[in-house]
Amino acid sequence: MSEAELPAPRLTPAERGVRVLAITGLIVGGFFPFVWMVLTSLKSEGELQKFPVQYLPSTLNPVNYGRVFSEQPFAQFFTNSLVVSLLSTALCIAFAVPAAYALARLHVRARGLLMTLVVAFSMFPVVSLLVPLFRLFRGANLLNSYPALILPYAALSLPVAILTLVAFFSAIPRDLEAAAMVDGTGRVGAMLRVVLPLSAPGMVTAALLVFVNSWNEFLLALSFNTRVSMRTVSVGVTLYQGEFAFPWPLIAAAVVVATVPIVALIAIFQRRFVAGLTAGGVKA
Amino acid sequence: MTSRSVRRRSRESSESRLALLLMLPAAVLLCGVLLFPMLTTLRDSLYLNKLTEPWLKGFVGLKQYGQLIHDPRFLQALRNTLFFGVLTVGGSFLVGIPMALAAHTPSRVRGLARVALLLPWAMPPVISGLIFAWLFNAQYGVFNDILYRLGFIQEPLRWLSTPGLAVVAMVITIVWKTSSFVALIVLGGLQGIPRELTEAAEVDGATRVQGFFRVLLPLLAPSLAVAFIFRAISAIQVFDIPYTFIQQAPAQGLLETLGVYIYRTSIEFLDFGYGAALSVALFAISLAITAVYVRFVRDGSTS
Amino acid sequence: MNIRTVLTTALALAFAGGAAQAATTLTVFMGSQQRPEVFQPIFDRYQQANPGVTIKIETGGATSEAQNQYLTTVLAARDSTLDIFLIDVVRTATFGAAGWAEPLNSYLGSTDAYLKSFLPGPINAATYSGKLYAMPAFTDAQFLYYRKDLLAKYKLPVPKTWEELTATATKIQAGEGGSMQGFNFQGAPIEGTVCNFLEMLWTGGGNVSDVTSPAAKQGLGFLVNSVKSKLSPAASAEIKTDDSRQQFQAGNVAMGLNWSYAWAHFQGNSPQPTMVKGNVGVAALPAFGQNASATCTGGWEWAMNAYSTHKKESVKLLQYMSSINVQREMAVKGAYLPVRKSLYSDPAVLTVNPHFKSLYPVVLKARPRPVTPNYPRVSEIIRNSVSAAVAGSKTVDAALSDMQRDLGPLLK
Repeated sequence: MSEAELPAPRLTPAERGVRVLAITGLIVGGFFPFVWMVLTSLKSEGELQKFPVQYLPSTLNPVNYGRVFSEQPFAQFFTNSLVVSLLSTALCIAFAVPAAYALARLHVRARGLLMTLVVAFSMFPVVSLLVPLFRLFRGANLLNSYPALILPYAALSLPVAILTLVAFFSAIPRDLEAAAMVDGTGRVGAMLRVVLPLSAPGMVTAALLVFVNSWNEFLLALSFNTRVSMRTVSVGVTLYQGEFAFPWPLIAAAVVVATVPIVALIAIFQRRFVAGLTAGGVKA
Repeated sequence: MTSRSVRRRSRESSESRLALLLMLPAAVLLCGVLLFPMLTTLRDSLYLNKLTEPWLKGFVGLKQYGQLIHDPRFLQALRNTLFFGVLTVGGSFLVGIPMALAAHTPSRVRGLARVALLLPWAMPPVISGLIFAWLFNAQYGVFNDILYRLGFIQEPLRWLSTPGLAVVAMVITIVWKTSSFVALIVLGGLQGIPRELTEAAEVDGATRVQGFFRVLLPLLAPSLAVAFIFRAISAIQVFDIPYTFIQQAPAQGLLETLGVYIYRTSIEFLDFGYGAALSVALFAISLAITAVYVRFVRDGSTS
Repeated sequence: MNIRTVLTTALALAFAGGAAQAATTLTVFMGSQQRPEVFQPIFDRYQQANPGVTIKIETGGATSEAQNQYLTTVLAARDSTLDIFLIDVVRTATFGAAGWAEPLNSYLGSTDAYLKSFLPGPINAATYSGKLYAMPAFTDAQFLYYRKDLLAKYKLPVPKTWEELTATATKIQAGEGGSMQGFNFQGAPIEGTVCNFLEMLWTGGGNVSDVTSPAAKQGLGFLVNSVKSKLSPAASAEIKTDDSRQQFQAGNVAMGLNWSYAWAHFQGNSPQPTMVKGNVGVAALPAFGQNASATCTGGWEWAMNAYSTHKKESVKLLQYMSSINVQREMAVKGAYLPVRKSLYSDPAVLTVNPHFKSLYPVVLKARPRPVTPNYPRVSEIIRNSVSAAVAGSKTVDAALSDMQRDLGPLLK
């Protein structure tokens, strides 16, 4: 199962062509707007309004990256986002794993109804939840704190996390678990030792979904944490515009600063975590 | 935990107890944070509460739901939402599945491919809409520039101020932004499939395409189902990209989705009562789709 | 002078109040685009003069929408945390009707005498159903920016009528060729577009209560024809305020409409290099035929939270913010257009902003956009219809009759 031990695929020239095309398309399509932001961040405003478009900046001027940090406490925003996203992911996954295991593996009455209920929690537009949640958190004295975002983020992503995990848990052959239980391991032991390691890709997927959802959330973050010391990146990147002016080079720099570390983090995490778990996991 | 299950088999009963215990934390979190605001919205939908006409107050029962059927803007927003929903959910699967396959295929650039898969999703959503609106700009947008350099157009296309083109531009933007979600779930699914299974198909003489449809796709079905239902729900709620776009392009109301209409009604027009009724209506539509999905999944998994 | 007495009394009261009671913390909300760094020293000075008062600034999102969303969330929950907030002038009636902004009349004493020294535009914009719901913080208006060098080159005067403007723009465009735009305005679905339309309407003698009038047809027709005759760019329906500013600054526009912020950019205080420094003139908007010139009142105002628990202290702070000294400082340090008439001939202000002298007659005649709680809907109807007409996806007549149908019930 480890990805490293895949045999070299045997490909016909046509297949090779399709493959090259697909990978190229993916890389170009995925990177293009990001690369456009990188280029924009190095340009001066005068270079933006040209047709035919001037793609490359005439000088490589990194001044906007300095301004990202000098005009707003962006490092603070970043720390806040990291804390909020990591903790909401941890909370969400910790609660989703047992629930999903129960739904996927145990005898649960009205399973369909329960699944529908879980999904139903993700069907209300966040805009409508804004004012009641604000009241709730004000009452609990939670405004301008990390829990004000961690709790709703974990809750809002719980449905998608549970259902993703149910799908993965269901895909693991029951015989493996039964074998472990025959060996004297209990239900919970079987879950921890057999099902969880085998569904590592599922857990990574679920964690990524929760993490990025939390990282990107804007509406609640704008309204609940108004103190500068509590602001997150998703709101932070919007703070560089004026009443009329939209300084693209500066905002592009903020977008790059907000995106690069997070993508790097995800990429490293995904590779290490999956490789580690599958290598050390139970051999089928 | 009913008496019937106790009578039937004690193993089932203890399993049920364990299941309840395992589901409890999630239930507490969901109910603790979301149930109260949801019930509040439900109650608000039964009251008039329009702050621009503050004298209109009081309990009106289901009247505001009756109002929905006669509200041309609601009907238009509903049509738009379903239209964009079908196109962008379909689009994100058509793009997302090949993306996942491309990122799963061993190659020298696989690391890069995986980053490419994540990037659209990790970029701040409030800005993504603006970036694309700029790429579609009539005077100095990149898309016009490419079409112009390739000789497809002589005059710049006015993407945002031509209603039909604005619709195309928005579909492209949403598909770009949401395909990552599908691709990520499918990639996770692919990683969970033992390699032997796909190889077995190849040994049997199936072509790669046949192998994909006969072996891979059925194994991916659970992942695809999850991706589908959440893509559908988020498509019904879609807000930030349309909200950005309608500030660039009126497009004769073609870009206004239910999510945008709810936001405008509540936050901008301060009609919290009707806004709540709209939210509940949107909730009901999502629920109907989910009911269909659950039936599909149950039939698929127990047969 | 009346104002001085009021202020001295206010200050005296502030001192007395400060000594008598325990520390009061006033929370002030403004957008992060409103440059808190200009406001901070002003608040610091107020704290020094009023030892019992501490001022805390809270900044919201950087756009009018983001700030509005936050204020709506907080105020719909009847929150008392914020004491005063800076709002866009178009929000007066909405905040008043919702019961979020406290009417100030009863706190101000002889309102009429006090308000006489203010510009009428911002005061009218802050007044809803006979009550003053906010103190103007700084004003703004749309102006006609023109290229002095180009008018001189073709020996043409600054146009006084729209007809003249068309002729002038045509001549300059023919002479300059290339990418020169004769006339630039905002046509995207934004507030600037609402203002451009209202100005066209008003300078033709029309009024928003009847947008199927000949004046309305003439006004919207002018914008549409300006695009058709290529005096304005084909993509005018996508042009936003800052696009207008950038294109003018790049030297591609002979005459254009914009707010006051553009001036500093044109003079070189800008992230974009300027091609027009020293060659820009500002004038009142032209009118149709014999009609009077008119423009839209912009700017922001200080409102007091109706749920605030420190109303007396807050009113004092509001009056301080619109006092002559503070208004002068904001004009000198931040180039904000003052809300008091006398400052447009103030030596300290004119030394830093000599162009304020020529702006004065324009801001003096500026008119507010419709003051109604339904303004968000009114604005949406106007900007979408106008943008569609400018784009050519609706005829002028269709756009106007759609507008009349939708505006009618709202402006009753």
